[in-house]
Amino acid sequence: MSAALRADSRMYCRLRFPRLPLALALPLVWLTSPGLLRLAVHRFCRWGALRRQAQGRTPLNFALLLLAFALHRIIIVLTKVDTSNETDIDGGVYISDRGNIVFGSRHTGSGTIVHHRVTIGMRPPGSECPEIGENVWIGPDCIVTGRISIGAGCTLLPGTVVSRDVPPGCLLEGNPARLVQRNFDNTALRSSLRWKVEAKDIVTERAMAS
Amino acid sequence: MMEIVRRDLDRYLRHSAGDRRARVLAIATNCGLQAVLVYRFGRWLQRAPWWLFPLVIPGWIAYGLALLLTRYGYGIRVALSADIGPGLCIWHFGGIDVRDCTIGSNCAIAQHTTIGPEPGGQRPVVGDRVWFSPHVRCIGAFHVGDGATIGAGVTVTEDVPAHVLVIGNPARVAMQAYDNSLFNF
Repeated sequence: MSAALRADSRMYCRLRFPRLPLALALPLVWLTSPGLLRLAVHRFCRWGALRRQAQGRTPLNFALLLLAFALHRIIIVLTKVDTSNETDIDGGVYISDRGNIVFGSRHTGSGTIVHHRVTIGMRPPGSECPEIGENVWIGPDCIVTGRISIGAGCTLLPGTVVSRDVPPGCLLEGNPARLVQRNFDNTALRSSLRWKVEAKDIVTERAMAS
Repeated sequence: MMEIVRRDLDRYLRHSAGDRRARVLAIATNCGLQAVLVYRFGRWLQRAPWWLFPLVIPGWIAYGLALLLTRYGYGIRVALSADIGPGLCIWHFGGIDVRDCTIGSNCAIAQHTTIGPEPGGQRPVVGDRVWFSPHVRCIGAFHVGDGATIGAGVTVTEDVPAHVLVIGNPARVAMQAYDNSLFNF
């Protein structure tokens, strides 16, 4: 849990304060990032749930359950991000500070960036939650549903609705999602939070090409 | 009134009907259910007879406090101007805005869904057993038929017939005679 949180906080530092030294950026990020707090609470709740599964009902586990419940209620109101305990999130993930996220993937790889107003894992009976690879960039207003897997290094432009498997390195947009480009390199998008500038570059490049 | 609330609760407790502990847990933990109950309470206050004023005036204060939690804490805004039938189900929370509309019974509304009129326009009318997926915008004087299923991320731009599945943006009818009673019951 602590190693994953350390990776998370490094990620937040790199994205939010790229020019500050780590010693200065770390306390700033812990004080001012609701998304990081949400990740911390998620990891704590999940750790408690796994511990309860493994050891059964002990008084300490019951106390942990109550604490996790209280933290969960508070953090929902503070950040408006909902995650389920079944969600396995690797270390080094950025979840937007702007909130309004419903996050229920089976597994999420490190280096993934999730922006605000995103829904992952709508689960009507009979279907299951998606799996998200490493270094995926998920723009605002995206929806990822069903038992699918999003490959490593995919890019979901704002407003994409995905319900099919996506191979690694694809650039997707639209509702229903269509493939725009294969082998798209999203390191520029992932290296900062100025996604509007980068996304505009993508759009103008495509307009020039067509 | 209690009958309507009971039908709302039944929507959330369909897997554990009659279980008292499950009911208490659902009311304590489910943000959508809390918002529905606050909305029902506000509607009851609006129609309460005048001689109940010793109850109604503190009731409005309690309603305002509860609104602070559901509207600003959770981001679920179900305005009292909306006319919603029994059995409303709100999934998750955040960015839900329902106002000035007529909604039938046993409908489901998911996160980031907006239902309302254009400024100065007519109210949208939604039938029974309609399923709204996440990120649906239904803004304008549209009629949504009984048993329709609105897919994820759809912006409703014209009337939706009964018992169809609508997906995509711009919206199109993907399936006729689509039965949503599998997940909306």
